[in-house]
Amino acid sequence: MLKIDLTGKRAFVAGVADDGGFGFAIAKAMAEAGATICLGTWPPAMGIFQNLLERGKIEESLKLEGGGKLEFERIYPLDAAYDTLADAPAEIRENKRYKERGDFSIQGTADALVKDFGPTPIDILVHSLANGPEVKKPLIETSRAGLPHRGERQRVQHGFHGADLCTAHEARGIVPRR
Amino acid sequence: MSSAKAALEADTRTLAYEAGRRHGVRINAISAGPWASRAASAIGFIDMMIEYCKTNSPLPRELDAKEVGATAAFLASPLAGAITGYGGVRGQRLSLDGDGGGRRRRKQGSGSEKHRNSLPRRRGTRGSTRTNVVISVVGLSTSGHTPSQHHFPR
Repeated sequence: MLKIDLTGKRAFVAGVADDGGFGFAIAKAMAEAGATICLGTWPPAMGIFQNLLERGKIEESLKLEGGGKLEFERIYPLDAAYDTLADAPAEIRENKRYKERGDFSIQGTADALVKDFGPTPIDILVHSLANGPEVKKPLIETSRAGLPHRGERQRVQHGFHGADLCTAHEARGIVPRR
Repeated sequence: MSSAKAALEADTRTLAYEAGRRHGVRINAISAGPWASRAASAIGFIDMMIEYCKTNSPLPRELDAKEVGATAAFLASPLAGAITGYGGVRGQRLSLDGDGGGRRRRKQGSGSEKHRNSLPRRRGTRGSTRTNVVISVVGLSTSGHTPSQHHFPR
């Protein structure tokens, strides 16, 4: 029988902060295929997400088909709006939801992965981040700063080994629930 | 921002070429259709988009996140070892254009050929044991016949 087998692969899924998005579903499917899962989570949503996990509030969603539970090897704080920590403005770096998280930039996340797992830490990179700063506006009303694909292409380097390209076009974090 | 999704599709094809030649990495995107995630609620009219797609897409039914997960797992697996530059899974989304692979083939021999061949080719890509896949997920509308907020005046 033809089988999807990701045994021995490590997937980094960027853009998971609850059990409701595509990122979570992808992480789960890849885990069911045997992959090890690391996440990149938007710092402001990280505490809430860890709470959900620790308090068992999403136990049902974490159940894997065929038994077992979805486990995350590591959860990294990641705000893909910033290539390096120096790119983040002071008010972000000093914000209480960011301050204790260490280096949440793309480079910081890549470095952390290398530190944790060696020079070729991941095999699969999933970009499932959402929303640009002016996502509500039609294109004709969007400013340069809100044009996700012009000046703001982001690259993930080093840590992601060969998989060194990540278009974070729309990746400006997860916006709180309405 | 359907234009952002259109750019993503173009980038998927370009990155597939560049990252494939340089690193032997495959790049694919999943263009699944609108999904009422927490992030998507930020746009303010996601429910209407879902309803619109349910009514008008090729498979007029609710999308299941599990289907997206399965697609990603497949694309990341060795089974999809020859698939790169692929722009989407089109059950729910409404774009009627062709996929990246087909377009790429048709473009061969065009003016872009020279540039393509000028990129260094990575040795030993075939039979590589690492997976090295990048998947970008597009949740909301994409290019083509997709609803934007112009369809949904608030």
